Amino acid sequence: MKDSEGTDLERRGVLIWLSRGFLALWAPAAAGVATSFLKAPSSEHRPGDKAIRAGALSSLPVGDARFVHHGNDPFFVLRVSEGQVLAVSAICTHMRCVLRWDRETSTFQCPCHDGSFDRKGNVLGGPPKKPLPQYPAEVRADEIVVHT
Amino acid sequence: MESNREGKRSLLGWLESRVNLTEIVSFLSVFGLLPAELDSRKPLREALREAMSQPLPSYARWPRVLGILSFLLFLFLVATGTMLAFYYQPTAEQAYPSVTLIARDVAFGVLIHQVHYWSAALFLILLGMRVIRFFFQGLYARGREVVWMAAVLTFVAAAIADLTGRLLPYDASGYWTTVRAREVTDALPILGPITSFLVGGNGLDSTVLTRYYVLHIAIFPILLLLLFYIHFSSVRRVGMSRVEAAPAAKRSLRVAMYDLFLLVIFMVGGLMTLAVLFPQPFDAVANPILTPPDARPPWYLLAPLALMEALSFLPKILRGVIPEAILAVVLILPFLDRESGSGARRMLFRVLGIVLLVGWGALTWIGWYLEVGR
Repeated sequence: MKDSEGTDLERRGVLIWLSRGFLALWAPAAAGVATSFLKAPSSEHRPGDKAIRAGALSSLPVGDARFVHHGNDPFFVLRVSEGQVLAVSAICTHMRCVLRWDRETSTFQCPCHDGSFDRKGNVLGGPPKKPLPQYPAEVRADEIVVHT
Repeated sequence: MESNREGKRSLLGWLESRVNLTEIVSFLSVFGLLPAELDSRKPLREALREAMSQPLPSYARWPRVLGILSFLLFLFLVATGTMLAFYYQPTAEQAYPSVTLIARDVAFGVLIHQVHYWSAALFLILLGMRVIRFFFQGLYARGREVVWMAAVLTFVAAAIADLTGRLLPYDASGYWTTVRAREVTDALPILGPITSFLVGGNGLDSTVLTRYYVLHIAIFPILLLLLFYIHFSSVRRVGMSRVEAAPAAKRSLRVAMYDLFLLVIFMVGGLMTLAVLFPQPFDAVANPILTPPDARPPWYLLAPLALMEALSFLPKILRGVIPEAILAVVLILPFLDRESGSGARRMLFRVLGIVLLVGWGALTWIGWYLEVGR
């Protein structure tokens, strides 16, 4: 396989290694695709999950609240006035128990340790220290939409 | 002795003295990836050098390419399928959300799913073409019976693997395709009850879906691997098929590996092109009380369906026997057509084969339009 002219062989060698190098790029590309596929998408960045449909506004009487299932972070939507809604977390800030809505007193009651919150999420009594987080909520064509 | 002393200096030699590297590399030849047989008693370099000096036919050339290409697609299916299994949840409630998560949120999720889809489609087509090629080139003659039977069974196993995979997304088309396919399989006398036993019921709820999943990701892939093993093992015993048009030029292992390498590149390119240009997105979520009007079994079951519909005047047991009998005859063809060369009997089988193929194609056509006529 010896060539009479050394330069030709050299050029050939360079081309061989160049083409091998290009072909070797397949490996990192495949590895990149595989690793980015296997990386679990974080729940905060799921595009559809940011706006949650919390049911029709007309089915919720003024002054009442509705419990909305949302994975590990359920919340209440309250109809404060004719066109105004509030979304308040349904998780007690004390020990993560799920709160109940008390229609008579317009408060959230914790079944675990008797914590209570007013309808805006402020602590009224019991062991919890922090108020309930609120989520921005709006009404779109009679549908309550909550952004978490 | 000399190779031993030489080996002490290199990493290869270090490994060589601890594991049988030649045996590990010759494992590749078990599945046709390396056409040469390596002498596992010799050190790797020596065994490879010896194999290089031998003239070797290449798997990766038309028309022998069908076998190795389908095995490469099988490897692709295993790789992409394993990746999809990282996200898939085999329950009726979670299956559809999990596949939409793959398609919507996971990086390259669409690509991996589409490559899996298209690999499966091509896999089945190539295996079918391989059986047809074996038939018309008489590659089931004395000595090659095992090769033939392995090829037929590989096609059948791949079809079942394809069938079980269709239900998994739990979308409308997958769900109703499976319902229509069960209509065909339930009518088969022996295979029908076995199918019912394996999938564990007629309803397609979570318990059945989980069984489809296990059949799809464990049982049939292992069966396919075993069949590929038997195929390549038999080919090593009886030799590769002779190709008349092939030039007499000596081929080496190096050329064979180069062919294989090119084949992989073209295959990856082809799969990516199909995945990007002709994506097959998931249908809407399956609704067990709403049958879409175009619910059909998969293409390979259209002909049996049409046959069973056409023979609806016969008792049910007889209708199911006919497709099974055709399969049985195809499977034991090497023992029916024992004539070597181009005798009258071989001619008869050829004609029968053409009739069967054309008839199968026509029935598939009829099966496709069966629903419209109703």
